[in-house]
Amino acid sequence: MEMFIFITFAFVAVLSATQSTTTTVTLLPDDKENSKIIVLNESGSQVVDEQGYAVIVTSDVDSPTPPEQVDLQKIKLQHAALFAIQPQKPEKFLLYFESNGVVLLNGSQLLVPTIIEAAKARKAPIINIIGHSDAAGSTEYNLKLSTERANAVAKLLQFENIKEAEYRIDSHGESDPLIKSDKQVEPKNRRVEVEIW
Amino acid sequence: MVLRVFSYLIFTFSFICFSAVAEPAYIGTIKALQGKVSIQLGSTIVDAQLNDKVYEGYLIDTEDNSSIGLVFIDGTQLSIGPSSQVIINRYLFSPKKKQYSFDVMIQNGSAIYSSGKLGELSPESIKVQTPEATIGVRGTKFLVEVD
Repeated sequence: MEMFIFITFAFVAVLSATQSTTTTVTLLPDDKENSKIIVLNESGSQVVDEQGYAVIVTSDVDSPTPPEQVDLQKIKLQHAALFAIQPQKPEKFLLYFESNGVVLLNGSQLLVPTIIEAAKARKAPIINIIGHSDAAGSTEYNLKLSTERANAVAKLLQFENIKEAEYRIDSHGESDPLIKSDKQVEPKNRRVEVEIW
Repeated sequence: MVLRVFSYLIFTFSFICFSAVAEPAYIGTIKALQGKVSIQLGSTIVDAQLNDKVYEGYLIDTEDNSSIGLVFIDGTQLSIGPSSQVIINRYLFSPKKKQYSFDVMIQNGSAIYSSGKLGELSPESIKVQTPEATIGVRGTKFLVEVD
């Protein structure tokens, strides 16, 4: 694999020497907080942490320009086809469980029909089901528990006839907590994430 | 000596069998498509189809008036505009083993990257390259133009 990457790099170097392109990187508005990118090459680097600011790099031996504000409306018009092709954002749901098992809390039980509706509203939906646990108990136990939780939710949804649905069932054990705390028992981490794409 | 040759043969044979059987895992899905987009993996070139799976090593080539939207298994989105070439060098998302990698080369054209779970769990593993620069990500959405 390392070798492959190395060859790719060499290939790139040749192409850029003959084709000579310019790279422009624009930080776009997003719902995520603290958006930040770093644009770098051999000659220097620039951090962009304000939305609607862009960095230009004219070659791999010229350092990136300092970020400058750009007209986002104009960019959206220039790249209308690209902005239009962005995949629909997923609908995300969180289901919570009683401790040490696969029993859904009442509130989460009530959410299941909403999830099914959301999946049925999309064409060939991807249904991403990711099981989690809190940190009480051994890592192995928690991985097993989070897998059982994901499977239990998958069973509930697969019982419905959702057309052309693709199920992806995964579990992260205790390694991907929603609440990052030192406490081992954390009900908010005993969850299954469902994403409908 | 004979034994050694024999065990070597067994090793080679099982290695070949394994390589032939093991299918690479898919890393994403084509969730939006417009016009004609070709996908090259090794010496094979096919036309992209909606809802097709995406694999590591793909070279994606969009024609004029054509574009494509990918969703990776961690929820990272990569949308590629017209007349663009993008190579998916490496993608690895394995929270259980805490192994992550996202290495994409935008050779030419335009693309929008929007981060997913990989960006939350391991932003330092993300690398979006162009012929002129490398873009490091800290959980975000940005536009790249190479022309």
